[in-house]
Amino acid sequence: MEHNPALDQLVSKVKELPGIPDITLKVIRLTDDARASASDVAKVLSEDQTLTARVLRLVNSAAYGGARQVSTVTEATVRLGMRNIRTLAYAASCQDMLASPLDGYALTHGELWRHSYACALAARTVAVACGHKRSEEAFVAGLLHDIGKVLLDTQMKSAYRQVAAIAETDSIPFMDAERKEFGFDHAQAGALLLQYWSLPDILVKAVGSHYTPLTQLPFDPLTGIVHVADIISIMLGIGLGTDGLDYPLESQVLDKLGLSDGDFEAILGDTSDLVTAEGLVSSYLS
Amino acid sequence: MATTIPVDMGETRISRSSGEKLVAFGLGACVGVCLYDPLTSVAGMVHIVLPQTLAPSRAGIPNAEVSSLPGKSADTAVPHLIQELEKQGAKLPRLRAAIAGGARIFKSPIIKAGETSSSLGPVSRLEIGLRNIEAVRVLLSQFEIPIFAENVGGTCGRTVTLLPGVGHVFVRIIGKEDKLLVNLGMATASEPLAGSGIKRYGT
Repeated sequence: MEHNPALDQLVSKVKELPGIPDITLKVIRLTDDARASASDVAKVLSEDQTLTARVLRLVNSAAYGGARQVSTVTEATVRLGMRNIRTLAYAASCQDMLASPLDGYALTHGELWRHSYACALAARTVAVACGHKRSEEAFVAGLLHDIGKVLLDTQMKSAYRQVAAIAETDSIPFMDAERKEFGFDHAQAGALLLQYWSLPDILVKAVGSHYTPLTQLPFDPLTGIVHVADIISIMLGIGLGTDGLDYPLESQVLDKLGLSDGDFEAILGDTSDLVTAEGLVSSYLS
Repeated sequence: MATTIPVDMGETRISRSSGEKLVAFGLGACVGVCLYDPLTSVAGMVHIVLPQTLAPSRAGIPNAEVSSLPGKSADTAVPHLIQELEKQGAKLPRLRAAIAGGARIFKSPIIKAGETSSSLGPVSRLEIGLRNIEAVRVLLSQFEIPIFAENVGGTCGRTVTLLPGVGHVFVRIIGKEDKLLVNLGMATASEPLAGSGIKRYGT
């Protein structure tokens, strides 16, 4: 990722970068250890039942589209592998952070988590539809794609009117207006956070460029998948903030992924069914 | 305070209780269709996702817990909503409609009052918001249900609320306050949509 002094300044300003629980850190250390087994991971995770339940839910969504097929961490680790369990443990640890209200974007409690989860389900579906081999990775990238909004929210609270005015006056998408106002956008801010957490480069890239997937040369399919999935969850209206639908779909990305416009529509329809089956309905917010 | 009955994607909800309100939260490209019978105060809302029923995507249906609701696609949603209203005593000739949603992603051409997708020429299949609006208009017209007010298009997310007791329809643009779109209880059938002063297109 390009060096951006304004972004560095943001990080230094954020006094309390969201903390990762000790249990997750232990899981990360274990997954780095070639001698560790799936049952070792299960043993550590079992110290936190909430985290375990969250990880299992994510595993079932990521691997099976919501069917309850995996009920233990050991099975989950065998199914998805250490690397994905590690990332899902991170994602599960971010749930509270992603669920927090973001006044700057007019997102109430739970809205960003709901949007992120819907994007994850859409990303998994897009990945399967276009024959991408790592659909679980697409799920995780979708789940974390907007985490930069958490970092940018404080600034956005005071700058929203200005950002919205730039978007309207210059007829540019909201994301471009963010970049004009702050020197970076929430995708770049999110990538920085993932980098800080030492998450895999492929995730950092997908999150950081999910609005500008065509800037990745050569084309990165995971970034393209997250881009399409995000637009789908935005069009479904899940977790919409003040920025609304003011984001462009790079339709060339569909071509590059081998998807037709009809595929896009069908995936949007499937995602709405998945969101309903996962119980991510509006009452989830109350 | 009225009890909120959420109308989620693909759902159809009916009420005649003044103690309830039907609410479709966060409509993006989806369209919320509100139907109201002023004589019986029976109200219904459906949250439409797609203009027409489609086969599942190439990804396939991942498991048996995932299925489509009749309100998901306009072609099945509108007849289903009418049927459910009639079960509660509403009569088709008395029904009045208001619709909201159908927003578009950035760079979509802006529609103006009176324009429809057909007047804009061929519409990309990716224009799901616009196609949803058009499908709903066509279906309501087939059932001869007049549309008293619309708040559609633009790039904003919307929440639409229908109060069964009185037929009031409110639209809230996300980040803003609720605004009365129309009073379906008071509006008369002779009141035309065009020139009624009611907010219709975009924001």
